[in-house]
Order: sequence, then C-alpha cells, then structure tokens
Amino acid sequence: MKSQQQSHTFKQIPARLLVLVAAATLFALQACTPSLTPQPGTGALGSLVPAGTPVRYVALGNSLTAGFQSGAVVGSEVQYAYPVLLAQQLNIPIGDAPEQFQYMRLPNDGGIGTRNRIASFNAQGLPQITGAPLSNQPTNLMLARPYNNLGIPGALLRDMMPPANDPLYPRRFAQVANNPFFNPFFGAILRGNPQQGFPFGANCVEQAARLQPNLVTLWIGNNDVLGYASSGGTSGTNFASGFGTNPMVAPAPTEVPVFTAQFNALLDSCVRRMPNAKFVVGNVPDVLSAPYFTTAGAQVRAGLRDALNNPMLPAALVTLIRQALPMFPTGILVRSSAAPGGIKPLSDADLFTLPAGLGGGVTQYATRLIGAIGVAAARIQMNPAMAQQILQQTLVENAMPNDFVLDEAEQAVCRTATNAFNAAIAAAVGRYSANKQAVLFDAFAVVNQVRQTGYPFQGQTTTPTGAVVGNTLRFDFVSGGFFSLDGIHPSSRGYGAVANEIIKVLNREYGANIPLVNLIDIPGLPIGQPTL
Amino acid sequence: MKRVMVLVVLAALAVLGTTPQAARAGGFQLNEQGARAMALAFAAASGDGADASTVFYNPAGMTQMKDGLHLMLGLTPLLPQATFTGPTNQNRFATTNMELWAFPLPHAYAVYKVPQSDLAFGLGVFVPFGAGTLWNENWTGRNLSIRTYLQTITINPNVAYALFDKKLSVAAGLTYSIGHAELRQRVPNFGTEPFLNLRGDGTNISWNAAVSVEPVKGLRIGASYRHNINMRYDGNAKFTLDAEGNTPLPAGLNNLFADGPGGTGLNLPFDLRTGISYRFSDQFMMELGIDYVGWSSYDTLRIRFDRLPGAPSRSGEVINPRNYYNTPTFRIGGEYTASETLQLRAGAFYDVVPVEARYTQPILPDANRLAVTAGAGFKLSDNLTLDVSYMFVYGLQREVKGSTFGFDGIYNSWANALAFSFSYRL
Repeated sequence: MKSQQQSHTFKQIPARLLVLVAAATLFALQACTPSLTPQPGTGALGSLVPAGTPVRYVALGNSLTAGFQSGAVVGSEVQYAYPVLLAQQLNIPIGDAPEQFQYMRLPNDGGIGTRNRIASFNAQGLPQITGAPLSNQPTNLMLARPYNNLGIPGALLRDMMPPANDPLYPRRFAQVANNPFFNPFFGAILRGNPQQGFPFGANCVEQAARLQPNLVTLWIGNNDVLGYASSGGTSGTNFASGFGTNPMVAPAPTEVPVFTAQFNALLDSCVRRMPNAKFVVGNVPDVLSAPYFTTAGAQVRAGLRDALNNPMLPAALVTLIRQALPMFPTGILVRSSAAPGGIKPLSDADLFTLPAGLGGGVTQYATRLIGAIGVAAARIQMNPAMAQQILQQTLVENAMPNDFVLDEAEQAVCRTATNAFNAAIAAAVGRYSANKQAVLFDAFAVVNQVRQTGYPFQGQTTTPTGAVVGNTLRFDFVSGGFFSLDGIHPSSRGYGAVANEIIKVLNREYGANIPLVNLIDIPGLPIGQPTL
Repeated sequence: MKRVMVLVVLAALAVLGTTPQAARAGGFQLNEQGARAMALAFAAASGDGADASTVFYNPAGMTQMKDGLHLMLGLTPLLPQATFTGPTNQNRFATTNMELWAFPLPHAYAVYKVPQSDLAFGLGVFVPFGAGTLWNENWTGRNLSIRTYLQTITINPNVAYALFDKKLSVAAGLTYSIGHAELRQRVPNFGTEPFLNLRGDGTNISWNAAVSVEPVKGLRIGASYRHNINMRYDGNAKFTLDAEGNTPLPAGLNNLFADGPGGTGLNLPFDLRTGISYRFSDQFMMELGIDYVGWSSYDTLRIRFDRLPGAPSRSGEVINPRNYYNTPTFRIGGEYTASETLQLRAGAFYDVVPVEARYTQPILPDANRLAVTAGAGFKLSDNLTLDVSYMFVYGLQREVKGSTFGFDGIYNSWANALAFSFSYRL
C-alpha cells in the first residue's frame, strides 16, 4: 500500500506524464515517413555503356524479336515486343529522333499476318479460335532512318547478312506466284527491295550498323530448326544440301556446319561494323516444348478413338480393327520423312502439330481412315484369308499425313540440331568474351526452366486439388498465359518475361541495375472483338 | 421504464442500421467497443465495472456496478489507411494508397445489476470482427484484392455473479453473431479482366466467460474469454465487366467465368483478455493488460464455388494458405479523475502481427501495431455521462520478400479513430 504522500505524488504527476508521453509519441509517429529498405531499380547501367553516354539500342532477330504473336504482328501488340519493353526499361525515349528508339508501327487493329483470336469459349471452356488475314502498311514507313527493332519474322540465320549473289534472299521481297519464300516482313521492316533499292541498307545488319548502336541484342537461329519442326518434318532449311531444288533431298534443319559458319561470320561482321556495341546473343530454345507441339495430341487421339466408337460402324469392322490394332489409334501408320521407308506406326511419343488438331485436319482424316477400313472390311469378308494383308495395305494407303505429326525420329533431329546450333552460338560468343563484348542470353535454359516451373506472376492460382499456390505464366495453350494463340510465339506477357530475362543478363554481366517490367501492366490475351 | 424501452430500441436500431464495419486491429479483430476503454488502449479487462462496456471487455465486472439499469450507446468512427510500394520483385517501387474508407463502429450495452444482490444481467451488441480494404480497380495488385469487406454483429447476453463479498466475480454469456463477407478482385488472364464479386452471409452461436478478483483493496485482476465464432458465409460468386457487378461478361468469357452459388468460411479467433488494475488513489488508476488472440484458426481461407472460375462445369474449393498464428497484445492505460465531472485517460498498446510477411496480402495489410490513445469522460448530469476518445494506430512498416503470392513490397499502415459513448443510469 502506498503512503498518503506517494498517493499524492501519483495524483499530480503520472496523469500529466501519461498525457505528455502520449502526445509526444503521437507526434513522433505522425512524423515518421515510410522509408524503403530495398533500393529501387536505379536504372544504373554499370559497364554496359561508358558513363554519360546514352544507350543506343538495336535489336536483330526474327519473329520473336519483332513481337510477332498469335500469327501476326499487330499494331496494338507490337509495343510489347521485348526490344520495345527493353528500350523503355533502359529509359530510351520511343520516337523518331536518331538517338531514340523506333519500331515498325501499324494501325492499332491492323497488322501483317493471319491474326488468331479467341472468338469464345465453348460450353466445355475450350477456346474457339478464328484467324483473320491482315496486310496493312506500316504507318511509319517513311521514317528517314532504320528502325531500331530490326527483328524480321520468318528470318533465317542466312537472311541476316546474305551474300550479294544469294539466290534466296531476293525472293523474300518478290510477291509473285509460286514463290514460297516471299515474306512481307522483309520489305516492311527493311523498307526497300532489290529492284528499287534499300535506302537504309540491304540487310538488317547494314541497317543496324547505320544506327551506330552501343547495345545490340541478336537472337537468331530459331527458324533454322522451327521450319522443319512446325511442318512436321515436311519442309526444311537444308538448302545447301539441295533441299528445295533437288527433289531427292529430304527436308532437314539447316546443316550444322553451314549454321556454324554463318553464325561466326555474322557475329564477326557485327562486331566489326559496330565496334562500340555490347552484344547480347540469344540461343535457340527447345521448340518442342511449345504448345504448338504439346497441345493437340490428347485431342487428336481422342478424336480418332471417337471415330472408331461411332455406333454407325459395323460391329465386325470394329472387332477387326481392335484385333489388328489393340492400342488404336497407337499403331496406325503415319508418314515420316525421318523413318526408314517413309512410314511408321504411330507411337505415344509422337507429337501432333497445333493446326492438325485445332484446324480439324485430323477429324477429316479420321473419317477417311474409318471409311477406308470399312471398304477393307468388305473385301476381307469376301477373302478372309487375305485379312491381314488387306488391312495392312489399307493402313499404308491411308497413312496419316506427314505434316500432322512430328514423330520421335523427327524430334530427335530437332533436338540434335538445336543442341549443335547452341554449341556454335556459345562458341561464337565465347570468342568475344573479352570485356564482355558479347554475352550469352541462354534462352534454351530459360525456356526449359519456365516449362518446368512456370514464370513467376503475381497473384494466386489453384492446383487440381484446389490449393492455392503462387501464380505463374505457364506453357499450357491459352490458359497458361505465356504463349500466344499460335502456340509458338510468346504472348505480350510472355515477351515481358523475355525482356526481364534479358534485363537480368544485363544486370548480371554488366553490373547494371535496370528495373524489370511489371508483367501485370502488360495486357493478357485478347478475347473476342478488337474493341475488347 | 418507457424511456428505457425507447433507449433500448434506439440502441438496437443504431447498431443494426449503421452497416457497421471495421478495419484495424491485429488481423480483422476490433477492440473498439467503448470510448472509455479505447482511451485506455483497451486495457479494460480487469473487470472493475467502470461502465456498461464491461459487457464486452469483462462481463464479470457487471457485479461491480451500481444497482439498477445502465445503458450505453456509442459510435467509433474508424479510418484505416495503408499504402503499398511495389511490387518490388518486379523492381517496381511506385506507391499506391489504399482508398479512403471510414467505418462507424457502433456499440450498445444494457446492464441490470439486481439491487441488493450479487447478480447482474447484461446485454451487448457490438462488432467484434470486421475488415474493409479498398484499392483502385486498376491498381497493380488488382488480381489479389480490390475490395474486401467483413462484418460481424454480435448480440451477447451475459449473466454475472459475485462471491466472497464481491471479491470474486464470474460471468458467462452466449453470443449470436450475424456475419457478412464480400470479396472483390479481378481475373487477369485475358485482355478483358473480369471482376469477381463474392458475397455471403452466415450466423453462429458461441459463448464467452469471464472472471474478476480483487485480492487486495484497489488491486483487481481479470480475465475474459470469448470463444471462436466459426462462421460459414453462403452466397454467390458473380463475374462482371464492371466493379459493382452490373455489366455481364461478353459471350467470349461467360462460358469460362460463370455466376453461381459460392461462399467461404472464417473461424473468427478466440480471444483471451487479461488485465491487472490498481487504484493508486481516489484520483488515479492504471491497468496493464495482455490479450492473447487465437489467430491460428485463420490457417486457410477456403472459397467455395459451385462453378469454378475457368472450369465452370466443375464445383470446387479454392484453398488459400494464410497460416496466421496466435499472438499477444500488450496494453497499458491510466485514468485520472480530475474532478467530480471530469476524468482524463491515456494509454498505449502494442499488437504483435499474427502473420508472416510472405503471407501478407493487400487484402489485409497486417503489421505490428503501436497505438496511443487519449480521452476524457464528462459527467453531464447525475445520470448521463459522455466519454470521448481518440486513438492513433501506427502499423510498423512491413517489407514482404519472397511473397507466397509473387507480390513483394512494402506496406505502411495507420489508422485514426474517434469514439463517443453515452452512458445513462436509471
């Protein structure tokens, strides 16, 4: 118990003290301003460019560099090409002045290519995709200097710096009948043609050199394997061996020695012509991990099984097929340029191309196959001893078209080529590792990583069990978000991820501190009408 | 008695009618149930029965009140504020302010101390849990949270009994709680980002108990326990083009995101308040308190959809990890009786954040909180008292790294509250 005197003291002091302390604390707290512990991306460029020098950036490459997606380069999406995003993160103004960054502009809903769109989702939640051809002119065709983004969709390695007597390169510009090499992007982006001349340079490397860049991204070589892969092995880029001119030459990816020599020559020439530039050189990702090859399989196999389950089919026929092909459709024959004799049984490891599945080609094929088997069944009834031969002959005659399938052997061809190309690219970059004049952007490793774990994206996503985990952009067609609707090229957000991975290379290799792109600031896949 | 009836009806109407809401305590707990208690930083659990809000803070204190009927009616306007800077994992350091949204939290109590007995009855109507956060619909975290609104109105009858010449009091009560929950966010997968509006309602019956002892004259120790309120909110999920839920999705999207019944559940945590108060003199008393809140009940947030977003042919649950844990709050408050008609009060508390940084979301930007409070009680007449108080809550800056939701950043939060309580004794 306190004495009376102590009580008195308490009566006088503590209450005032409390009020004072409270008031003081209040003011102290109010005065606190938030401070940031982590430092913002300062935009510091490290050793990327000499101090005080603005970045002059040029991008060389193919469709991946051009911002091609969903089958086209479109005005409203070309701004999300990774070179444009990278320029923004580098604080390079977008504009026409020589030191600014400029790229091919197109009317907002115009473009070049066949643009895929999600028309709607059906009752099962599956996307219904429609394509519309677009062939607009660039709105800044008259820019009096080269574009900084010189990525040309469809460009092969050989198109970067073709020799004067190159037989193929002029055909890129010639919109005439029976010219499969015509490609509208060459004329639109380089803004010239062999007949009327090239005001800014005859190829993209010449044009790049004219801009006197101090930073160049060079990402080329994908089409030297993709041409073969996306055609299901029915087309190739092995022109040096005579493909395209000699009908006896089977299609294949670009020959490794040719690729190696061309890549070395390209990088040598680039370094010579742009001596002040740092080069970030991308390699070739595993094309087979793209939804173009991984999406249609389940659908196609189910479609074939459904065709066999048609109740209109005679029971005897179904029994016959089930006896001959217990694993149907596995075991039906498929044409393959890589198989001995050009034909092989369909295996579970074979990949179907996206157009084969979504384009309805396989559905038509299944109808034809089942019809032919029906005819065979009638013949077998008349001649039962020949049953096996008749069925085999029918399957051969109705083998699945080559372009539907990238079979195991063809996949191996793609992997071998990709690995060899990447070894050549790494070796070429290695020759310029002094002062980090050239550094590698290991797109192959990045894509493998993203395929396995997804690319981090804010928010939450549910697992099949309902548990919520961190959100990611994944490779799944449409729902995954990383790829666009053509299944080969990234979406706008996917390109944002590419830009961020290149920024990480710059930050790591040159001690820069360039801020990353905030992926949610980039729109998701467009749906429905353009106005949406 | 007629006047009493009018007051009770008015009180009930006020509580039920003000769409009571809430925001800032640890998690989504609200301690703002009386102006005097707020002035003491809610160090009011010893059970001294200073006013009728003892029904909330420690109903055993009802036995210490004067004989007869005590009524209290009050309001606590609360303005929580927060900012988010980030997402820093994307090297973005822009700061977004949470939209201003104030919540008038009502409270009403009636205590009847049976004359010349050790028995007291009490009824409280208050808002023990609630939360409200509102972010711009286009802000960088829109797929995590735009609008979150949680309200819980609890009606709580109690009975208290004193033993051993009022040295020991015990109380017990039932709670009937009416809950409402709303959640709004956007689905960012496509160029058109639909709004998801989820809302549900539920009720629950639970209980509370309290004890208060006065081992030595002037020294009082109390504890008050409120059991979990396990709320199941049933309602619906709606996907629209506009935030308010009026514009249906275009044909392209309505097969992917379909409206349907849905809901969620929250096990609102138990709450053990303890307090020790000492009356140093007739003029000055002080109370220390420690509360312990069972936040571990908020380990997951399960949202039920009869038609799952993205796969509307299936039903299912979306199970969000929250992983809250039980935490204490430390309180100190003092009251100085300046005159017959005036009491001055002040206090402070420190509330330990109940969730790891990596689980922190803009839906509820939790933080360690330090608060200072001040207030006064005015005896307006023999029967009528007005208590007013002010509270400033400062949320210590919270930096999130390695966010489970890929949303690293820096949260700053603070809140201002005013409280008014009218007490009337018949």
